[in-house]
Amino acid sequence: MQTANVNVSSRMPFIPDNGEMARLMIEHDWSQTSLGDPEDWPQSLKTTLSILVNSKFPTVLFWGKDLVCFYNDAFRPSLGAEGKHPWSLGKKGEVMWAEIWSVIKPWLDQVLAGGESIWMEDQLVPFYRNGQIEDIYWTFCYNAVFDESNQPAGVFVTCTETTQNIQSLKRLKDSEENFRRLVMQAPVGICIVKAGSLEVEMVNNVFLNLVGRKRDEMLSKPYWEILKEAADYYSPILQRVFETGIPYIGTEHKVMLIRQGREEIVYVNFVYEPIKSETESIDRIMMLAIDATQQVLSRLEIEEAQAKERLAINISQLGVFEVDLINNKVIASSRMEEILGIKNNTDLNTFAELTHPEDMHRREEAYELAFKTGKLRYQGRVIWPDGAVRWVRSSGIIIYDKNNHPQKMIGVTQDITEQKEFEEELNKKVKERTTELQQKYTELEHSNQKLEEFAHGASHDLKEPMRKIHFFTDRLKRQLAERLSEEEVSTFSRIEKSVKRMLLLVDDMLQYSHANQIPLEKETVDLNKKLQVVLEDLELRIKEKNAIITIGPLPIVRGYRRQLQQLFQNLISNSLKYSKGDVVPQVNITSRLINSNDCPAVFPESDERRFHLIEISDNGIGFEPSYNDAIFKLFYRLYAKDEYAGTGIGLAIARKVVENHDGKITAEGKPGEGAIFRIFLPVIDIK
Amino acid sequence: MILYAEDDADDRFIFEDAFSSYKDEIEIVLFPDGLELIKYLTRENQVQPALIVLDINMPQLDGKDTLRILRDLSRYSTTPVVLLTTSNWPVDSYFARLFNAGFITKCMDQTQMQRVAEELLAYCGIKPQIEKPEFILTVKGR
Repeated sequence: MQTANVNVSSRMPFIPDNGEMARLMIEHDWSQTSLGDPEDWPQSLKTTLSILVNSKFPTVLFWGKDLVCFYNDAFRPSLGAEGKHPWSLGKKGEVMWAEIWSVIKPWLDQVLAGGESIWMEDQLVPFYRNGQIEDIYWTFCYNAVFDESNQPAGVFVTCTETTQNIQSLKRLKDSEENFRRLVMQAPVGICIVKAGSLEVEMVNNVFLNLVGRKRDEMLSKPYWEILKEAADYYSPILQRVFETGIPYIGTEHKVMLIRQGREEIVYVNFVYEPIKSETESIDRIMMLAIDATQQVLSRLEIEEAQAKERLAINISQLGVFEVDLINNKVIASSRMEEILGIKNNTDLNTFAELTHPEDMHRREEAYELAFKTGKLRYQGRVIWPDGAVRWVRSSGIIIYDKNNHPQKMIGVTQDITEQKEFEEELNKKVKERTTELQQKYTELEHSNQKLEEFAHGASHDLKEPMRKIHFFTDRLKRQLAERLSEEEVSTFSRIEKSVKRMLLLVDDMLQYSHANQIPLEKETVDLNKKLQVVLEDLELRIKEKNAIITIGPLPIVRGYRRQLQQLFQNLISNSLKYSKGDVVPQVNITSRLINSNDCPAVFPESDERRFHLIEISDNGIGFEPSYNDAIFKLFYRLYAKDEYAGTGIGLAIARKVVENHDGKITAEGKPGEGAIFRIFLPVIDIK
Repeated sequence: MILYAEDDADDRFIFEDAFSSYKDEIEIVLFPDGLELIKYLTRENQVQPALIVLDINMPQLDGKDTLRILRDLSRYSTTPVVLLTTSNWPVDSYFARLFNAGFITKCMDQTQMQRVAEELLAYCGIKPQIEKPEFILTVKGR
C-alpha cells in the first residue's frame, strides 16, 4: 500500500495528500468516469480541486457534462454513517443525489447557464444518510467554475448544515408553545406580568374566574389598574418581589374581590414567582393562585363546630373517652379521669374494674348491646380508689373499619351523682308521702265508717229513750185517764208531740248526712225497680191517704242506689204530706229525654247535653211560685209545725242527691192546685 | 209460743204487757239476745214456736244474724219471724224481705202496741186474720 500510494500520489500532484478525501481521490480509478485520467484534466479543475481539498469549509464540486461529484473532508460528516460515503465520490451528480436531484438540478442548471450564483439560508434539503432520509437544513452558495475556454464547466458548492440551529430554534418555539398551553390548561390560576409596566402578558381561565374578570379586560393592561380593589395591599408586595427576587407565598389570604359587579370575599393561596431573563434581571413575575374559599370555609365550619363541641363538653363537665377496641386501650380526657378518680391510665380493664360490683352486670349488658346496635348507653356506679361511690352516665358510639369490624368506641361520661342522689331523695320523699297519704286515707275511710256506724247507733240509741218517753207518757196518761183534767191531757199531748218531732228530726238528720256522703262508685240503677221498692216502703202511708200513684216508664241511670231511693221516697212523701184533705191525692211520675238547650232557664251554659227529665206532679195544696227555690233550703218550712209535720230536711236531701248525680232539680208550685218537681239527670252511656 | 229476743228490759216489759190479756192462749218466752234464743231453739226435742220476734240491735248476736242463722236451720227455715225495731231504714226492711221475715217499727204508744200484738197473733195463726193489717208488711210467699 505504501508503495502504491507513492505511485498513485504522483498521478495527482496538484492536491495535497493530507486527508481522507485526498487519499480517496488519488486512489479512485478516474478512467472509468467521463473525466478520464487525472493527468489529462484541465488546469481549472486541478486548481479548483486543490482549493476544495484544502478548504476547511464544507464544499462540494460538480464537474463536467456528467456533473461528477467531489467533496472534501469538511463536508464528509454531513453524509453521516451508512450513506453516500465513500461510494459517491466520482459518481454522476444524478446518481449521488438521486433522491433530491429534482430539487438541486434546477439550481445547477441555472448556475451553469451563466446565471447568478445562488445563496440560500436554512433551506430544507432532506437526503439519505444514517440509513434513512433525514430532514437537513442548509445554508449554501452555488457558484460556477469556469474552464480555460472561459466556459462554466462545474459548480462549486459551499455549504453549511444548519439543521442543529433550526431544530433548537424550533424546539424553543415548541417549548414556548407548550408552556403557553401548560399555562392555559393548568388547574391553578396563572397570570404573568411584565416588569415595569406590570402589563399582563399571559393569563389563564382559572385565574380569570378567580378574579372575576374577562381576558380582554386584562390582557396587555397594567395589572393593578384592573384589580384596583387589591392594589393597596398587594401592589407593594409585588413590587418587593421585583426588587429582591425573593418569591412571595401567600396562604389563605382573605381577599375582597369584585366579581360580576359584586363584592365577594374569597380565600386565596398564591405565589408571586419572579422570572429571570438571560441577563439575570427579573423581567416577569408569574402569579400562581388557587381559590381556597370552599376549603377555608369548610375548615372554619369544622373549627366552629369543634369549638362549640368543646364548649358544650366544658360547660356540661363531660368527660371524653376513646377506647381502642383492638388493643383495649383507653384515651381519657382529664375531666374523664376526674370523674373516675384515676390518673394516667390507659388500660381498659382498669377502667372496667372501677365499676361497682352490683352494676358490673348492667355494664356488661350495655356493652353487649353496644356491639349489636353501635350505641352505648349506660349508667351505674364507680368506686374511686379512695372508696367514694359516684354515679356516672356514659354514652358512646362504635366506629367500624372498612370490613365492619368494631375498631374503637368514642363517647362521653357525665358525673350524675348529685342528680341521682336528688332523684333518690325525691323518690324517698314521694314514697314517704304516698305511704303517709295512704295511711291518712285508710284512717279517713276507717273514721268515715266509724262515723257512719256511730250515726247509725246514735240514731238507734237516741230514738230508743225518746220512744220510751213517748210510750210511757202515753201509758201514764192512760193510767191516770179518769183523774186527768182536760188541761192536763193537753199537757200530755204537748209532751208527746215534742217527742215525736224530736224523733223525726233525728231520722231526717241522719238521712241528710247520708246524702252528703258520696259512695266511691256509681252503679247502674233501674229507676223502675227502685220506685217499686220506694212504693213498698211507703205502702202504709199511701194506704192511709188512699193515694193514687201512677208511674210511667223510667230510665236506667248510673248513680248511687241508696241515695236515689231516698230522693224518690222524699219527693213522694212530700206530695203525700202536702195533699188536700178533701181530694184523693194523685201523684204522677213521668220521664222523657231532653236537650239541655231546650231549658235555658235551668241550663244557661251553651254546650248541649242530653238529660232525662223526670217529673213528679201532684194535686196537693201547692205553694206560691215565689217559693220555688226556697223550699230546697235546709230547715226551710213553708207551714207551721202544727199544720204539717215536717223538718225542712226532706227536699234539702233531694237537692243534695240530684247534685251528687250532676243533675238539677226544680220545683213549680201553684197554690191550691199542686206542685211539679222536675229532676234532670244526665244521660250516660250504660254499658 | 212466741219467742222474743230483746236486750232492753223496758221493751221486754212493754211486749209482755201487750200480750197480758192473751195469757191463756199463748206463752211468751223472752231472751236478752239472739244467742240465747238460738241456744234455746237448738235444744233437743224443742217444739216449733208459733212466732219469733227479734230486735235488731242486740249484743252478742244481733237480730239480723239471728235471722240468718234461723233460716239456715232447716227446722226454722219457714218459721214466722218478725223484726221489731226502732229502725225505719229501707236497708233493714229490705233485709227482712230478703229472709222472708216481717218488719215492724217499734210503737210509740200503747194503743199501737196493742194492735201490733193482735196483728202478730193473726200472723202466727193464733187469731183470725185482720182485714187490713196496719203494721206488718206483706211477707213474700205468705
